[in-house]
Amino acid sequence: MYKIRLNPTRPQVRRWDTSDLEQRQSASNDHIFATFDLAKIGMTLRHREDWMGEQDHRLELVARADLWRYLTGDTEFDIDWYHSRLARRAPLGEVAS
Amino acid sequence: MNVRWCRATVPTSSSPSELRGRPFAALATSTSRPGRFFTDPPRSAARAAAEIARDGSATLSLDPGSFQMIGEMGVDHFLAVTTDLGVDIFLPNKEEGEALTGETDPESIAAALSERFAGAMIVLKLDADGGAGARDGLATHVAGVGPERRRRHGCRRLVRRGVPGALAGRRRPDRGRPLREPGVGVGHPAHRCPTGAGPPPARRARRRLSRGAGRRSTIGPNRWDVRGDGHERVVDDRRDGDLRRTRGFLEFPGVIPDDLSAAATDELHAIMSTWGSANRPFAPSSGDGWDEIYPEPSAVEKRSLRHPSVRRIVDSLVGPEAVFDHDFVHFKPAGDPGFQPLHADAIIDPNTAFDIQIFYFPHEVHPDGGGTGFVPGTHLRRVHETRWADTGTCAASDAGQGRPVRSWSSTTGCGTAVWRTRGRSIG
Repeated sequence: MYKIRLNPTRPQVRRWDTSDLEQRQSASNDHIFATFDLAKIGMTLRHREDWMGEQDHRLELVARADLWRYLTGDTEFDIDWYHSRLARRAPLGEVAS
Repeated sequence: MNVRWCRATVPTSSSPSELRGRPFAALATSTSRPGRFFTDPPRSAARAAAEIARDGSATLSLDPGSFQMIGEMGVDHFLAVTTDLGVDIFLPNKEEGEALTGETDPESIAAALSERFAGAMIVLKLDADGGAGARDGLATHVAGVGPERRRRHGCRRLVRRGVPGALAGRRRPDRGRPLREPGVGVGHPAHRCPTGAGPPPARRARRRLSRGAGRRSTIGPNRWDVRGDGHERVVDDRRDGDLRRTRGFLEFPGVIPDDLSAAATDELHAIMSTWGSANRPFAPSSGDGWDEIYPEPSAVEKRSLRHPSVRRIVDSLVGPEAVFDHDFVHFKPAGDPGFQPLHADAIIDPNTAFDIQIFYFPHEVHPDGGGTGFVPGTHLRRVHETRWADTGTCAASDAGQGRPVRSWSSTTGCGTAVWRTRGRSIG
């Protein structure tokens, strides 16, 4: 097996065929415990690996949301509101140290 | 149908060792707490319990418990860990059946499931619509009963629990009385019906919103014009494509023609034999442009890794301006007991922008053939541990050989995989 590693030098935003991106993007109120759509990207990104417990899985959801924000340029994208609830509370007070 | 049956719920914390010696006559996963079969250790414990049940010649039933979990696991993954159990009775509801088959008609769902669970009786639960049963590809629908009849018999969850018994004619040895006589339809006055409050509001809402079950996303960077004919295709087969995009790797079997791979193999042997010396052919330097390294007449890059198909894949992930970082040739002779342990191919990396690694297998690789392994889903972990497997989080080596996450072989005998770095790999 031959392996080679490559570094990008330009942003990796929407470099693939994104013609169905808008159609498949999860709604802002998509949440696994409320309303959700199995056909949207949020459900794909909720995939769980064998090695993940509940807590690792939730941390991965946050990391995947970050990656999807970067890949699509959509800074509001979220999975199950982990980012959204933090953003909503952030202006209300200081972050504990 | 004379069966011995009981229900065994596997606790979340169970491991296979905890089950040894316990008197499981059969196994059924819990519908109320559906996570048992989808993560480890409870999955290993559930499979061990199933083995005990089989050894005891008991009837084995399986209720998948949650179409959401099937969606998270992926249909292929779910089937891979359940269809080999030797299930006698499979008990999905309609949403789960749709997710597993892509069919919407109850009899079609049941028939399709009976092909996937060979030899099993399929009992598709349809709530007020009754149920559909199938075996050996032949399906039939059993009508449900109305609320008045259910109320008369003091059973609000009659259909949900009644259909499996109606079709299986099972007995509960712990109570010594039949739930159903063989062949008796749902709602028969002789039934002893458990009572319950019915599904909670949230579950009903999810059912209303679940009409897309079984559909597959095509979104994501897995569509390329790999044949150069102007038509982009989903390179992964649709059943696996969704998973791969969240697992940190993409697989492209057979994109390099065999004759080019043969030439590349010869060159890789020459590179390996001169590695680190001034005689190494085509030695690139870190920071060189992706388009500049391995110039003609190199077979590795010009004819293989910069093959038009691979070029399009790479461009869609890191762009044509990407630069070379490093490369290496992994060569393991037959019977070599040595292997590299699991490790992260990076230091702790806080960046969102990501590198990729291309793994090029110019020959067929079998699961026990010493290929390089990768732990799916570890590509976003901001940690760095070598021998990560020692933490008990995952198992990764196979008899001293790196275990590939899947077979990289193809009909043409060669394949290419691309993944985002940071993932744990053994190579």
